[in-house]
Amino acid sequence: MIRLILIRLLTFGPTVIVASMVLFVAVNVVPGSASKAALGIYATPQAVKRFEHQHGLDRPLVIQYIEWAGKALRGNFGMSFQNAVAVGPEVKKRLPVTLQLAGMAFLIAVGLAISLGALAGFYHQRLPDVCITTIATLFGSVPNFWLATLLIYLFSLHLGWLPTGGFVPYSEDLVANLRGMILPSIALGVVSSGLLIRIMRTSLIEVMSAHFIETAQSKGISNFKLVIGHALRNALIPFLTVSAVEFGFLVGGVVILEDVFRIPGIGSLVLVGIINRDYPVLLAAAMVITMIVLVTNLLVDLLATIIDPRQVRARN
Amino acid sequence: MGRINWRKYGLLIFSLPVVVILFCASAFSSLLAPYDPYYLDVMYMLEGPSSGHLFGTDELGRDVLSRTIYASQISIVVGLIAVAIGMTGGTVIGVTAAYFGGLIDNLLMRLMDILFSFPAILLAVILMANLGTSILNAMLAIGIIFIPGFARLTRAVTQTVQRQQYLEAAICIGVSGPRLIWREILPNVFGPVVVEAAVAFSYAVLLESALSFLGLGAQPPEPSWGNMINTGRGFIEQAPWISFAPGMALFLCVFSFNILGDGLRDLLDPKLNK
Amino acid sequence: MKYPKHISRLAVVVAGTLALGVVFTAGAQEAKYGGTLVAAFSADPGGFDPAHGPSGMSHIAIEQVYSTLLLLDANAQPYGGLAHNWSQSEDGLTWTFNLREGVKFHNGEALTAEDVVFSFDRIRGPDSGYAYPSQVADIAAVTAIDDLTVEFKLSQTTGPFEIYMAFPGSSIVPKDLVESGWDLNAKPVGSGPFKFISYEPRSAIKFERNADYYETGKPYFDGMVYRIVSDPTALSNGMKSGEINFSNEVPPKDWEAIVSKEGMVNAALEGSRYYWLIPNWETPPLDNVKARQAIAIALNRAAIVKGAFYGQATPLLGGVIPKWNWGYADIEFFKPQGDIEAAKKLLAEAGIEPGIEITLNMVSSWPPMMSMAPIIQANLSQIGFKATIETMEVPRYWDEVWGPSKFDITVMYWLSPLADPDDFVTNTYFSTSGVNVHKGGSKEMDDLLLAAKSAVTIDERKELYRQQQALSLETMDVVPLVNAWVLAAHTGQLKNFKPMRTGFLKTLKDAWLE
Repeated sequence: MIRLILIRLLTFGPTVIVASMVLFVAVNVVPGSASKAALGIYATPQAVKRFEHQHGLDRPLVIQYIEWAGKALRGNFGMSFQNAVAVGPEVKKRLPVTLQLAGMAFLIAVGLAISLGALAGFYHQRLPDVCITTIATLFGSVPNFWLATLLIYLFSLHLGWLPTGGFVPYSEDLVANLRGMILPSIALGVVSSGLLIRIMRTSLIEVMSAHFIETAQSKGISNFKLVIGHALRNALIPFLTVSAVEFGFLVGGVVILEDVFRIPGIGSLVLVGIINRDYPVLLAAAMVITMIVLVTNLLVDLLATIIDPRQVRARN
Repeated sequence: MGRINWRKYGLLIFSLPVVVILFCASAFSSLLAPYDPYYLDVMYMLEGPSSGHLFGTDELGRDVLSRTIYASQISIVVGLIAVAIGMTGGTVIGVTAAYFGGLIDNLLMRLMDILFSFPAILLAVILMANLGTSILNAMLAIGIIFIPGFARLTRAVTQTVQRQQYLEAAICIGVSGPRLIWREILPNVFGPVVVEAAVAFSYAVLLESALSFLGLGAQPPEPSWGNMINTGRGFIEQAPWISFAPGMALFLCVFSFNILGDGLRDLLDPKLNK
Repeated sequence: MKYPKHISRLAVVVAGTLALGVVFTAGAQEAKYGGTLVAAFSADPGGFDPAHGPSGMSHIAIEQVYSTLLLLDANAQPYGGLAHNWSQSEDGLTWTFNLREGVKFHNGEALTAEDVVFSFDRIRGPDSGYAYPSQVADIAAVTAIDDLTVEFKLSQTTGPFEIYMAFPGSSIVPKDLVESGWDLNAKPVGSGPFKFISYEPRSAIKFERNADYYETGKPYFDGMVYRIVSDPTALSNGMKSGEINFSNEVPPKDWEAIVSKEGMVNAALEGSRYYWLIPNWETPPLDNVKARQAIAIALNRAAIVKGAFYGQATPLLGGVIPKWNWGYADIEFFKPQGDIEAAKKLLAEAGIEPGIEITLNMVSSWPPMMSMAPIIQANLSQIGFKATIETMEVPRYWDEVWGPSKFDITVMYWLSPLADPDDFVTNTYFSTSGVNVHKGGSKEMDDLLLAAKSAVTIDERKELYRQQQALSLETMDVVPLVNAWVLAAHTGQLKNFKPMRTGFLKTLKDAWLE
């Protein structure tokens, strides 16, 4: 087990580096020069040249990468092309916002998954199972941005219960913060729950078909207690490890929904970076999002290895 | 009704007609749509559903229903080509990795793992800004994003096949290289890949509309479900129907292909009843 | 009890005066101090140093923090800013400005002629990176005659000179502070009505009142917050909910809903943000003036006003100089609904057969462009041009379409931050202008433009611009479309705000909140 853990930890570093290289190349090969985006359509050629020199855009890509990577490791993400303001502090401010949204959405998804998935697994092949599986597919098929639009229309505009968007830090006003985060969390969480419900269901079915359940049944423990007591616990672990993959999809969904609900997180920063061709901003935001996914995957893998090394070995 | 094996064919029976309808809508849009999707008359802008316009008109007076029907073309075509690209590229990489094993396998799979860890929408957004916003590039971008998924799948299946007895038998009698791949490995890869393709198709449709929604896919005035939902968002109070029809269509499309995937799985490999 | 007669008469007089006093004060507007104005804008500023740019949003912030020698009133007429008096020499080549006494920068330092000289030398330098070199190109020298007098020597007479002196780029910066290495771009320090407090990217710019502003008694707000709201729907919602009490960037599609709300004041006015259709002179048959004129005549500007601007624009029926400006040439060349028959006739005269395929390249990021594209396409097809619409977002457009002039027809808009006719027309019509992507122009046009700019009296210039406008319609370099209004709306609690034609907000210093 220690061996597995070490391997996993050692491969993390190179993975991050390669990922950063991929992103750097992808971002810097973006056509539509950053200078025109920052200076405007009527910029003089001299101004453009000055800009490119100022930001080191006239040097070879490899050198640019090494400089960027070196600074990034120390938390310095450079200066935004648009505002001549450092990118790092803005990223730092926005990160907790995205984490809160992703976290809340994930909780909703997992909550739905465990409850509905367990029910479906318990009533395997019977009506509740069929219903829930269909609902799960429905959930997973809804486009999250359309669901968001519908939710806004219903709860904000029609009923007026919740704001159409915007963000208030929880340190300022917890109630307002939650009110602003409910709809986006639901939109994200419900869609993600689609897959998670089915994973939970499968996990539970597999566990329930295992021998020890039969043994317990023969002992006379009621089925329901059985599920809650034994099966669920055993089903949770494989469920959690597989659901970590879904977290990656969820974090991706953050990019769209932060835009729809005007939440100042890292996701909307990606779009800002793209629309303005603001490379430092785009790179920083994309890197942070990727890191969130990589770190989460790492933690879940390590957890899974500790709890059940056999499963991890089998998967590899 | 009783003689049909619902467990095996049930989902397919429900999803196939919808899928066929969707394909017909895109292939025969001009026949099905009551109006030209580009015809506009600003005098009739933002009008609600009526007998003349079942789903109302948009901000330039164009018929929302007709545009929704035509928009299916983009989704279907992008879905097909993106999946084709992903499938082809992924299969090549996956089978190669499993076939050669060792260092090649390791390197290829490490690369696939890294690509896989990028959230799809993030890669898609950056790629589209990179390549330029057009439908062609959307197909390419989404196709590239699918390659790691298909690679993993085909590699896993190939490895399973490799462990089978009959493969060793074939090698014994001298079948090797491309022939081995073509004769023994690929046919077994087919089933799981087809299932994955159906699910990938629905995800491709979702990704394409997400890109258009963000303004990085099909550009107006070309109708696409994504950009219609986006435009509709600006008018959600005055004219909620602009977002509604394309959203419904998109939802239906993705849902039916997901069910189709499930149905195919039931048909081809019931053991994977997930 | 009966009062003595003179006391009762006194009582009547006193009562009457009191009554009159009540009547008068109720009618008169008493300025109130205090309150914070919350305004909303869609773009981030690029920085706060007047020597940089261009960035419209930067200027909106710069004009509050700094002062200029002259200012423009709501009718775009110059009046004294830092200079209480100014004069022009007989030959028009020397301008002298007399500065006010006792003006201080926000850091307490006194503002003298030295600072003025420094500010202008700074932007005139060849490596300055100043985005408006044409405004300072004619300045040969700036000298401080004494502490409170500055002299500008021009290399040629410049009609719009006073307007340039009121432009935010011509703001006066503190010489000692800048020379000590202070970064004005991040932390602006000027002598304007408001002091800069903070800037949070994509969030807000905060200002506080400058109690030592040279216009004693002004400004009235305690402070201002410029919120940056990039999503137009969010901006509209903010205005409807009252969170935002001012904006001059109200999205056209929500204008009616916002302005009809109780307590909202409609401060919309025509400025100079006109849209023009640009035919590429290098694409036949667009090199034929009759073809360009035909297209221009055929367009249904009324439909564009309705469909792309929801009615909040003025169709340009002649030249691009708008009605409110003194340079307006009252020439009616186009019909608001367009004239398809006349256009077809022109094409027939030129021997141009219908069925020509052309591309209409539009920017997808700007909703008005997207809305007007199909309308233009429809008009074009009515006169026999088969137009396909190609769209792309802004940065790609600049690189692939605008920069290399790779287009058949495109549409662009020009937002003039100056109120002078020269700024409306030179960039578009001058043959060597960087904006001349249509590769048009003529010597006659160039000469007219130069003459009109350097003429000394308004009357001379007015006549020259009339000629230029007429010529522009004859040669149809570009096709004027519409002039979109500045959609400004604010809460009824904001009093005495006079919107400016240029879209700037200097007049906020004269306004107060109830």
